[in-house]
Amino acid sequence: MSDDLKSEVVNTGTNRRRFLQWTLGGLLFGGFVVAANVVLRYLMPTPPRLEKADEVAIPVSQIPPGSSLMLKHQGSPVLAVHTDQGISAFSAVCTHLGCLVKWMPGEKIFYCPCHAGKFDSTGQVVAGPPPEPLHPVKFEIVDDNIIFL
Amino acid sequence: MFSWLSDLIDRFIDWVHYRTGIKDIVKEQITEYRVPPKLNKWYSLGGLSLFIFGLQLVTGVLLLAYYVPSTESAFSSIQRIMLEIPYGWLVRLSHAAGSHMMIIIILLHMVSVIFMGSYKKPREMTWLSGCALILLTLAICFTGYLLPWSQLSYWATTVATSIPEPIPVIGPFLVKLVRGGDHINPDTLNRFFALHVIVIPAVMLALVGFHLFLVRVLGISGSPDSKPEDQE
Ligand code: FES
Repeated sequence: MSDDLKSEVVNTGTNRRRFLQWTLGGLLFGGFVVAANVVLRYLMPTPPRLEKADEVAIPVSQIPPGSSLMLKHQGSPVLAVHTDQGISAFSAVCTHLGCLVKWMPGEKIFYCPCHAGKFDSTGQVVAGPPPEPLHPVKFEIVDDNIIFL
Repeated sequence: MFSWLSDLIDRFIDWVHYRTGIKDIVKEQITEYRVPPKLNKWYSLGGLSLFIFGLQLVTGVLLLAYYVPSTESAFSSIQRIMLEIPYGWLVRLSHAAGSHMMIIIILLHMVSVIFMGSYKKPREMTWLSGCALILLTLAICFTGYLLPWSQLSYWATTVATSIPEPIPVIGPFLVKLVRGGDHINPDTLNRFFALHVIVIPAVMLALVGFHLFLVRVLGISGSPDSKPEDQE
């Protein structure tokens, strides 16, 4: 073997070691970047669910006396009803196991189809398994518009 | 290509070495550390459990950023972590899966130590500190399980804390001591939280240090595969 060839063999060996070192280092660095991204995004504060622009406002005329309206407010279902006592609004989520209740205009009750829970027009439980009244939703009436808060 | 980077790193390492002797420590303890011949994959389990322990510390601290230890807010704060916080599910489920993996790997570590006879003289203290560590690991899993304050964790903790009850004379006393009352109550959550996030981890860190110190002082026990003359 000539001297030339020998030194080349040695060189190849050194380069392989360097290649592996850089590859390993690169992989570790890549893994670190991915993990740092997860941690940073986890620690960043998340924006609040509802921006001002998402405010729900509907004209009173959309709920004539005796009728009801299901709408989405802050990402959850809300049921507004117009009874003899005026307009009221509740979260439509049943306080038992979370099904959606609906307004029965004939009986003037909220009825939950899942386990036959019944609530009167003020949200109080009148029958069935629900452990507590429907949760009321606050609203204001401004210029014949219902604005949910 | 990146030779300037290598140079920079080398100069930094030299700077640290001059002030700490770090290169000699790395050489003696890592790169030229002498281990017995014929080590097998069972020898990796101790290091693996240390790695998971580290991962649990990191994910645990991250969870502390959003978890609220009170009976009113604990469950909803967990829901927030799982549903709203970016990657919250990843952090929380890593913490949960890590706790299971830690138990499995420590048990395998114990089994290998038993079968290879590595607990024998002069390594009894390493073995005993390891036994204390697995008990602490079980305790930290147990106290962590209550923290979501869900139906599942409430009743599981009720059942598990009632285990000492049949012990004569002191049984009912022990149960009351663990629960901080006759039933699981808000105080139970607080004491489990304190145990889970500071008391047990601190003791475990100290014991892990002691365990590793002994492993280094006594050297790694030879594999049963190696011939007696290899052991010299
Ligand atoms: S979910 Fe409504 S009654 Fe059960």
